[in-house]
Amino acid sequence: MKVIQVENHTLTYIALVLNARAGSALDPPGREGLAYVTAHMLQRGTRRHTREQVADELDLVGTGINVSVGAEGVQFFVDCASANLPGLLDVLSEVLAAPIFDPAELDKLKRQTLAEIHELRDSDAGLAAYFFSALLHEGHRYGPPARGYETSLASITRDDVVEFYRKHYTQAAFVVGIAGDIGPTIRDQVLDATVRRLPAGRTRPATPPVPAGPHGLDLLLVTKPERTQAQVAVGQKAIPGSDPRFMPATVAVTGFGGTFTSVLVREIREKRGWSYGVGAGLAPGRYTGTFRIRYAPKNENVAEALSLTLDLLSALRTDGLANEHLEFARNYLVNQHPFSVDTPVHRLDFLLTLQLTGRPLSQLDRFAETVRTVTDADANSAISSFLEPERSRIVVVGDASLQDSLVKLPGIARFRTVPFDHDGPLPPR
Amino acid sequence: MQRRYARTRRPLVEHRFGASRIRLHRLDNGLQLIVWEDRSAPVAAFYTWFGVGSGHEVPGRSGMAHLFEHLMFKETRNLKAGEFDRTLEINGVSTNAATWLDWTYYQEHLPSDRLELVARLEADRMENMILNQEQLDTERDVVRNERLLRVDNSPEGRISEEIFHLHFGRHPYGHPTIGWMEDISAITLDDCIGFHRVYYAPGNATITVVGDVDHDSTVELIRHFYGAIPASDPAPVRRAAPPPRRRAQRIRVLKLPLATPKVSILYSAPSIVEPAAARVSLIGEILFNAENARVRRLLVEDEELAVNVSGWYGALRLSGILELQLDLVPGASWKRAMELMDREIDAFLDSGPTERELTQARNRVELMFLQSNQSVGSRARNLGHFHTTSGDFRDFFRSREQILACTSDELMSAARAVLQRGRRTVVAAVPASDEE
Repeated sequence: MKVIQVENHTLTYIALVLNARAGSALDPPGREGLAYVTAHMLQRGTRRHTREQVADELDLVGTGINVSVGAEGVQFFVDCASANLPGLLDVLSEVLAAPIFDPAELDKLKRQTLAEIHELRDSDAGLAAYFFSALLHEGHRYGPPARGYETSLASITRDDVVEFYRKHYTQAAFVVGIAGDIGPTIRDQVLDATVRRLPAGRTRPATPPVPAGPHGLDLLLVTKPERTQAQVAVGQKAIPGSDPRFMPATVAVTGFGGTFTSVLVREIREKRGWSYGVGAGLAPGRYTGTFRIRYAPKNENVAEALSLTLDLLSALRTDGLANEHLEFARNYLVNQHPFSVDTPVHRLDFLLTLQLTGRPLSQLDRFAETVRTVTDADANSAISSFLEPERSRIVVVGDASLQDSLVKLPGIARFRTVPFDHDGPLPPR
Repeated sequence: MQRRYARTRRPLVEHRFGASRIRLHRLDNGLQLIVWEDRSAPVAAFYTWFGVGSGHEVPGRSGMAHLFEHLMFKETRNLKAGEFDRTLEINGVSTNAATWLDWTYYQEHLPSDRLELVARLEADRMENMILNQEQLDTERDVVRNERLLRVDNSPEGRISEEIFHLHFGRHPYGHPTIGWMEDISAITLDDCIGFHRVYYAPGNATITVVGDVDHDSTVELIRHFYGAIPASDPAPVRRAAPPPRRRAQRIRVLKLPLATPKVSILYSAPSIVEPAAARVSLIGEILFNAENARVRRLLVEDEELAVNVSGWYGALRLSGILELQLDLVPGASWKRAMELMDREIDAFLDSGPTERELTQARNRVELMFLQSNQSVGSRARNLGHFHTTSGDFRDFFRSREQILACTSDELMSAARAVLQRGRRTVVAAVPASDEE
């Protein structure tokens, strides 16, 4: 167990962030959704309180427990006015350490999760993110969605949930963050009420790396009726946050597509007006990172926007970015950094991200210095060392009529279509 | 520093919040400035608010305020196209803007040692903006794409556009902020030039600065860069029209390519300047938003008809709104969900809240207040929204006091005035294949 604290008394406010390495990458095959269901079952009944009573107690302290489940971890975020912390800890202690996994509540949660899966299909941007992850991580533990599939969700039993909880909710799995109006005794109060009530456990082994995937462009068209605009995601597997190339690559990606005046935004939005929103980002995973570009052009601009994107990526790998763009990116990152640490919660978020992606916490205070020491050659070399535009994974959520133009894109090795309500792993290549 | 202090005029208004002082100044040309010093981190927020939104637009020119917001990022007599954003970004300043019914704002989140740069560039574009046809055409394309994204290809966007139009009709809030597509296409360069002349004058603007700044130096800086911008005629005052009074509720059913049904319900509520305004937030918590809120518990947990339920009070100038969203489970009947919701609301109107419910709702609103006072950006937005919409930034703090002091009787008085079935508007969006 690791604890990170950020003390700040500006407001009478406290935030707690409990992270457990109990994410969906641990779901057994056929039980996809188990990590999600387990995390959400914790507040649906304890040895002393029903689900409704837990909710009522949370309302009394004015808050709710926000649960998010990713591939590597689960996060419980909860905040309150300082005066309400004792009440909150009373609830949290039961939720984390004394859940009863009531069978009726489990059946209801599964039905509600199934309904959420359907509801998410009404967001085109959400679908693009969902299918991009599935395509990029095809065949890997990161591929299945956190909520699972309709069929796998139905097969999850109470025994599965109890076993998952017993195995993965241990002290060793947790990183605890506490921020805000906290005094010297708060740390122990929080830990005594939460993670220290769990068994010690052991550190979990690393997740196997994501394979590079086959050569050639792999394009998935997710068809949805009556679309006049498409959601596009282009990207590939990248380096983990702990890789020494991560910071230099971040400088390059920022100059390429990370700000309003970056190369990609200028080309797609400013010069051509093809998309309102456009951007590129590098996400630092613990064991693997992700490079992703996203935008939303009108149907008639999708193919040409993709062609231009692939050309820009090829030029980025071959020629790198000019000093003008890299100097710009360094300045931007250094000068923006204070906003990553301006509030107790932002500072805690930054530290937790460092911790969860295997980087030293000292990177927070050394951030500006580290960015300034990245040379142009470092940045261009880092990005070209892993960027493979010809192996890009591309997801287009849009009208079925886009197929004719997309299939003709140069370099397409695999082209698949699925309907927007496709459930389960992607069909074979 | 002493000399500077002596030159600084006393603020028009000073408000204390904890150890902080928030001060309002007005320049001779009418520009207003609100400064909230907070030295806890080396950052600041600089927001420029104009008292013009889509609620000021004339028929046939919907979308004008929003399209103009895009054009403000283009060119001035001193900066070529693109230089504004590039100069700010290279200095670590992030920029954005937003337009809504009563206002438009331009935001900068800046390292605090870049305040002078931001003030200089913002004053420059207020005074020296250049408009041309090429910029208008490119930005019009971007806005058309934005409309496709936010409305035409978004169920929530379609529903929101429909319900505001149905509820408000010809009222200034009845057309979409992003504009009807044909109106966006019809806007001319002359329209833009006229719009700028009328609404983008210092007398129609308020700057909110929050963060690691010195109050006196900030006042002096703003005087330096903005003081010479000439005053102009006041912007025309909008007709304070009440929303149309309905004798029966209005209902529209949209058939959309959806996976799940969604219902939106709009009630007219007190405007931001009415004393009862703050109480509507408490109604929203007790009935819809709390973990155990009455309607949420009934529809999500007991009957399993909805995935999510929410209720949001919109603090607007001409008429407030209470907007409810019901995201239903696949195959659920929206009529059944509405029937159950109405029954629960009726029971609440009969019995009123319990003391525990009232305490819970107050605690939830108080936590939201604390959350919204964390970053410099959210504080600059809160001050600017209230000052531009109600006319006094102190209403942001007063509304919190009113909520904390609200009695059960006051809450019920507001609830009975707002939750009138006969005056509400309902838009139900159902999957195109739905038989209902």
